[in-house]
Amino acid sequence: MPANLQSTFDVAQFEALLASRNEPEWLTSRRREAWQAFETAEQPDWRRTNLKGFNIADYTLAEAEVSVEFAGAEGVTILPLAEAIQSHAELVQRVLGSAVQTSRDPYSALNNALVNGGLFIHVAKDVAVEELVRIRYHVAKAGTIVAPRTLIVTERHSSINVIEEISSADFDASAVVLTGVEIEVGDGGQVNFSSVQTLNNNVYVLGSQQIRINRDAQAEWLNVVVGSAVQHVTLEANLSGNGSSVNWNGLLYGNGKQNLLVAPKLNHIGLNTEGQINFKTVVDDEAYAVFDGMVKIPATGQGTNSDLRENALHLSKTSRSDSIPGLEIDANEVKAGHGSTSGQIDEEQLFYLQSRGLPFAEAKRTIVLGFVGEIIDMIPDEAVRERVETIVAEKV
Amino acid sequence: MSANNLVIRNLHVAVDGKEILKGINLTIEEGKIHAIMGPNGSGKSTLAYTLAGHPRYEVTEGEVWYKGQDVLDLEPNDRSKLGLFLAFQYPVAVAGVTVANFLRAALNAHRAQEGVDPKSTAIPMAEYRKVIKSRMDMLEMAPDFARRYLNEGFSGGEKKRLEILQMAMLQPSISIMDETDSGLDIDALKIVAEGVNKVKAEKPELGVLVITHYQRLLNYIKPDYVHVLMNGQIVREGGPEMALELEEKGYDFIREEVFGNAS
Repeated sequence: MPANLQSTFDVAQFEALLASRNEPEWLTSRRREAWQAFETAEQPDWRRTNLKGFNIADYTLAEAEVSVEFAGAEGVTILPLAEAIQSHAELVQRVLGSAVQTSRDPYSALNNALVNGGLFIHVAKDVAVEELVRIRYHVAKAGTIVAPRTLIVTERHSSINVIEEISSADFDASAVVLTGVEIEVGDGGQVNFSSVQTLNNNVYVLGSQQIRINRDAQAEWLNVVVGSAVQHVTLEANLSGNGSSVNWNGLLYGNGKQNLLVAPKLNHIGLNTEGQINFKTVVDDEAYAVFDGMVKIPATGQGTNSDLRENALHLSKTSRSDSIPGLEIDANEVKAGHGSTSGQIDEEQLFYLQSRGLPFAEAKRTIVLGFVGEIIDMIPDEAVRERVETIVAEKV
Repeated sequence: MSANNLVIRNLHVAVDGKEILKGINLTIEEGKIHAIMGPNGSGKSTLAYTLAGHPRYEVTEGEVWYKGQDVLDLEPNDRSKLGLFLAFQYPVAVAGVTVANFLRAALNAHRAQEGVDPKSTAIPMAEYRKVIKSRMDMLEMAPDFARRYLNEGFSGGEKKRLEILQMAMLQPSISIMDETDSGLDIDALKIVAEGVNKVKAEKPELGVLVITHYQRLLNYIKPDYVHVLMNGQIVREGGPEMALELEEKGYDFIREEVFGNAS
């Protein structure tokens, strides 16, 4: 029997949050609705995410430390979400909750009830921003639950590059991050978004990300997951506009007892849309990683060109990975390919490198670092890339 | 006999329990070019992989001596450090590992000494850049080649040139060229052969074992000796003229002489 969640989180914390924020009525009522959904929900039936021993009542609501590095540019607005709720009410109302859907599961509902930090980024039409926007949410203390949310809205023919890192201090007890990313790419524009998760191996991450890509717009999306004890994050790219496209890459690297799940979903809604998914997974020790993918081409998606690749590397006998590359096609004029591989390090590669003088251990390390390096090299910020490389180097 | 000759004695090798090499005796002399010719399935590549130490090839009998060591006791990387080099017939792609980084790692592995901090023996970056540039210039390779991932998306000719670049960088003393001509058109073949000859000219003591099905490569890499491998054994040995004879008559006449019929 799934446990009832009713008693698991302190309602006083929720009421205190509402009281502390002078928010518009629509948001307060959404929060109450979400809280209601959470309170009455049962534990979700997540067969691939291990929540044994996880009790939401153990955590106290806090805010993640937020840092933003960006020199600023004409036409670009970056605000704390709390301010944007007042100043850009209409946009926030439209986009907030697009990825994190109250009806999805109780932790999504809790996420919407508690969302208490984060950023709003808006790019005016015809503005192309060269400089990378660097966002970091940092969990400083064990025993806390934080719920930062990133909203990005770009108007038509504009473009921006954003990297978001979720990190934590190196504490030994656990913490919870309820994460959410909600992006809308305006007609003919481009958003490059990199999400990098480097939390310490005691933290739980639950949440959702979604990018809606409008007519003739493009997105480059990167998801790198190397941290946390347990991650359960759904990802959704909606190719809503005709002629829209997404190039989507990701990496999961688990070791120890990490249980990392991403559930990427690619929806080819518009005509003549293009999407590529390329994820890599590495598992070592007793880690368990899950790629729960889905490509959907509804009847509206004529002319779709879609490709999904997922490759998993197992470095130990006790590690596991599941790859579920789903495909649902209801249109007839489409190109849709998918492939997934999983296995140990290729013996021929090992021998090739050894035959040039590399000792076995170094040959193995070189192959693993090469396998993940293809994705890590895509991280646009040097400091973040180096942090990921350091974490990965310690894992190999 | 020089310890710098590679001496193969009575080598028997099985793959998946099936005996492929049935008692090979062969000495690769210091500074000489040996060609091993033979029809498909005669065991040519098995010999190449066995000398390099591929784990799939099981030595059931025999020995291989080089520089006073039984090569068969050594791990593949230690064979490389001893001076053995195998140019692969099918070079392996390794995604995410650039040619430049890999070659530096290989050079440093060769320079490493037991019990010494590898940092102190590693090739300094500036020196490495100079070395790889000069080698690539010698082989007429474009600079962007070094930034590509190892054999990933390479054409047949590019793969073989990368093998020669690796040989030029690692400066082996015995080089085994496993069907280096396979899959190459005549222009690519000439470039690759020229590369081998340049490396050999720089290091005259280099012993080379050219494994090939056809004679045409031997127009460009001139052998001192030709050995014919058939059914897991060396059945004929001679000078360069034998390659021409084989080209003209095929392998059947030898098969008839040795095994009695041309089946």
